[in-house]
Amino acid sequence: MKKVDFFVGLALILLSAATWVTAGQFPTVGDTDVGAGFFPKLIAVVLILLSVVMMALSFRRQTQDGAEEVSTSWSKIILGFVLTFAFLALIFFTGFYISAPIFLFVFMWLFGYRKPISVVVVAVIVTLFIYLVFEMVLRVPLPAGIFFE
Amino acid sequence: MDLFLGGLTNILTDPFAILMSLIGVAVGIIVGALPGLTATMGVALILPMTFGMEPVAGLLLLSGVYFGGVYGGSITAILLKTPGTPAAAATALDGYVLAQKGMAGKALGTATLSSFVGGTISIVILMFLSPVLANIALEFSAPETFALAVFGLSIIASISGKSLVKGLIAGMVGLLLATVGLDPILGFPRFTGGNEQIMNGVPFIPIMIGLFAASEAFKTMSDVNVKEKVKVKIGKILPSWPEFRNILPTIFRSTGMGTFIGIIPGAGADIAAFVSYNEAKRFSRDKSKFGNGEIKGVAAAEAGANSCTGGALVPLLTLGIPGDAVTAVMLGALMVQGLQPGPMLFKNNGDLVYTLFIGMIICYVFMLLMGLLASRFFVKVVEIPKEILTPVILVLCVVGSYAINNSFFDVVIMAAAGVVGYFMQKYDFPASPIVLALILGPMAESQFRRALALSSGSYDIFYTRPIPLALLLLSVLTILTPIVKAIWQQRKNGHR
Repeated sequence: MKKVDFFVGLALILLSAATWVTAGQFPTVGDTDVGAGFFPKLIAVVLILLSVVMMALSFRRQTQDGAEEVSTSWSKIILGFVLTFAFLALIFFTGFYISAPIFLFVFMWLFGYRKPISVVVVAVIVTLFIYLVFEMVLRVPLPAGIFFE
Repeated sequence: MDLFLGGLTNILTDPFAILMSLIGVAVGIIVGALPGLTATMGVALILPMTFGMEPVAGLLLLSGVYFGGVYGGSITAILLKTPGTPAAAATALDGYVLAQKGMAGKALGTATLSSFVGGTISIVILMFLSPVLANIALEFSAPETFALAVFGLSIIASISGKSLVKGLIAGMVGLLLATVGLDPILGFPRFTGGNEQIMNGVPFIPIMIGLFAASEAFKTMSDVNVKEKVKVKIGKILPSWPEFRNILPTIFRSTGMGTFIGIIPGAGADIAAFVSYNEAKRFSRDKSKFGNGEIKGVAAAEAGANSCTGGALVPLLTLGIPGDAVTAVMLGALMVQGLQPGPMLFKNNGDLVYTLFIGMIICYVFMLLMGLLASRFFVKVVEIPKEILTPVILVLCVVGSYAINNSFFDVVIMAAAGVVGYFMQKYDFPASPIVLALILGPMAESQFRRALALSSGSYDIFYTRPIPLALLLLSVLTILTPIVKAIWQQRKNGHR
């Protein structure tokens, strides 16, 4: 258990408090129904309790450090996130069929796979495959992008 | 009997469905074998593709991926000591040692045979058990269903991941998320902030795809480890007949346990595999062999894991409550097809269900054939570099989440869920409770309030009826047991 647990717990307590306040204004109708706010408030209370427990536990010294931490490359993760959201933005503007091959190509390249022919082949084949399966077989249209609509 | 025959005829006259079974199993084995891809993820990604298909074909495609996925992990577990799927972790314990001793082929063959036997028997059990349960469930009313939902939630929260507290927290957060949208009884919009898109609740399938598939992809991308090439010689694939006869009792025992564990809502193939492995060890005369290349270890783990699949389908189909994370995804599939799982499914779509059962057995037959004949091919597939896999998976996630509702909003939700899911995994917060809470939460709440309406506001409806009482007590027990155990351990350690 580490620092993360403490802050997550804190955040959850805040969230639960906000929920409690908002849900307190939810209506009740009749005498048999507990109302729209009952469940959210119940969940909020339990969540606060659990978060307190977790925050308390986060102070406990770690008795065994048995689990080997798989080393994370933060730069790669941030890159991955950025590329993914850039991909989404690109789809929004230019549509799926233009964005997908670009995303695939850029991603593979930036992550170290540098065989140009293979990269292009993969990008094209995957996009083609998706086109076949989704547009032809399933007849589900994919975003065309606002430039083209 | 005629339902059985009817199912058989239906399947045999539906070549597309048979083709889907084949493709499903093949995809499943590949997904299962590749570390970084899990069976749950595979099913989540294929789910949107079943959207336009006939129900039987679509469900068999998903079942194939499920079955193949649980089995496929054993291939890399044996050859590379890296389980392709959590369920194969127990297989690696003895499988890898066997591979190092040059007996990889025997290990692979045993894994294939055990998975086949375990899986098929569990489907047969499913076939006979589910009508019985469905009949009982027909008598279920709001209090029973509420208690069942609570039970499912309690199990999944306490079983997932290393920390009970974090599992429960994940479950609670999921429940909270599930309250967003229109309230089930009054129709009052909760936490929607005027946003129309959320009125129907958070989009469940995109969140699932994000949490299970995208987050895994992010994780694979960030892990910095080198992949070793498979240099192990495979050798003869099958164990000899006398050897096989020797491990049969292990297989049967593991199948029984695996199926039972699968039936319990929330408990999945990884647990079934480990329990079966441990029991096989306990039952054996020479325990030291386990962990040192005991073929029974492989057989137990694989039979246990795959028999869990049939078991997990029991509560899904008869009660509408998922037996594990994968069946939670399949619940989504059923909803997409417009089928409501539960006792009504057997009443209204009985022939479809039986067709499905026969189809599932066919899936397992395909799995057996592919496992025995094509193992060498799958081994090659494992060598695909993750720089290629990761973006492809992400693209599929995007496509999949868009395809459900033609909504770009869903895609953004998926991506957000992927990021959240990544961090959750990193900091040991299990993701399964969230997904199950999204399904079981609304069920629990609406049934709770309906039960109160039935009893005119009195809470005794929950403890005067036997089934709700039993289930609710079990739920409390499930949550308390790990706590009690932990405190007891503390005391024991303190006295040393």
